[in-house]
Amino acid sequence: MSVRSSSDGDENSQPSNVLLVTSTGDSCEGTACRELSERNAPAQSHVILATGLGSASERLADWDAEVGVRPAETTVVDVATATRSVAATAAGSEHDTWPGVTVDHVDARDLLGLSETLDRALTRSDRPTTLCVRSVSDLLQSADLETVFKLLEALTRNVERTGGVAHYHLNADVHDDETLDTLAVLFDAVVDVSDHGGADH
Amino acid sequence: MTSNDTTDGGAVPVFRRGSDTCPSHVVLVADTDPAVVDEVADALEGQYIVRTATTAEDLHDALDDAVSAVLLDPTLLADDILDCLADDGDSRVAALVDDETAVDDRFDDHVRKPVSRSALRATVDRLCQCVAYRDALDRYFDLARRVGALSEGDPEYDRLRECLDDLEAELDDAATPLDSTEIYEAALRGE
Repeated sequence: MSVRSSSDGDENSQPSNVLLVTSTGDSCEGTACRELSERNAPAQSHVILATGLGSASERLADWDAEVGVRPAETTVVDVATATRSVAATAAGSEHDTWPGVTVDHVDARDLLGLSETLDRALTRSDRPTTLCVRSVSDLLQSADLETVFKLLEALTRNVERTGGVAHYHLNADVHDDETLDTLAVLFDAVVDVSDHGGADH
Repeated sequence: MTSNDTTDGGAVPVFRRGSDTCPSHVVLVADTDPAVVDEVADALEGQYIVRTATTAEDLHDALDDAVSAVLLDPTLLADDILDCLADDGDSRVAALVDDETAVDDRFDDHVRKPVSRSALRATVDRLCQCVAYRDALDRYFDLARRVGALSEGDPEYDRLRECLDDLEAELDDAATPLDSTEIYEAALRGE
């Protein structure tokens, strides 16, 4: 695992936006996600889980397995990708969610709609807010690098504005180093738990 | 004012340049009423490079990539051109309308006639700020991609990283006056 910080500010302040670089089937991904999700104590926090390939219920099950402590408030932003339509997502994911969870559905091709949905979620609660985006790789299936880059620039900016913390999963196995290094400039820190960890990116 | 008017029917749109500052954004003002054009242009001169038009032909001639904001009487604009403007990340368009007129939602904003100078300037400032953020973001992506293609040992790497830091500061300045909705819209418009 390698950690790279691009923050120039106070060393004691925690980075708002962290890129979590992973590999397929990597057992460290869950641990790293948990540690990044616990920067705000979950029991007192509003947690936003943005999910692409995994359904809302799968993401909540992941949270139970990896973190255990359920958040005070939870929002799932369910981003239907090419492999999961909005209709199928909406029909299939409501049954196994936790009580009181807000589930918002959005089509991955509608990036403005996605950004508006995330923006509403970021300002929904007065509690400390933690956002987990899983994953940037899924977004890159629906839009080109430039568009995803611009979305993430705006999103990371607004996470910082609202005082939240966020991490963004990216699977290094399906992108070249150039893509990773281009996106990395947007984040305050990069945590690399991939098989390539400690390499150039 | 530094130039002739177009209201005499000349086909060449007027380009006015203010003198007391160094304006960087080009604003195109178009209305069938020459008095409205003059009033709006006078309010913006000095802060912006102002182009004017009073006919659809002049408007078409004056509309190019240099224009950041368009303030116009909707009756002067063909529907397909409004579609193009509404999808253009490099410019913003506001309607100049009478008090009771409904505004097409493809316009980014609107200014009611008779025009309030302070409201007009606030609207144009905001439209141009969105364009400035998008322009900086376009350059930021291009530079990030160039940096991403280099290894850290490359002689160009440190120089481009410094350029990237400077551009980040410019991006922050451009985004500061904008709300989150404006930032998302500016970032993703036309993508």
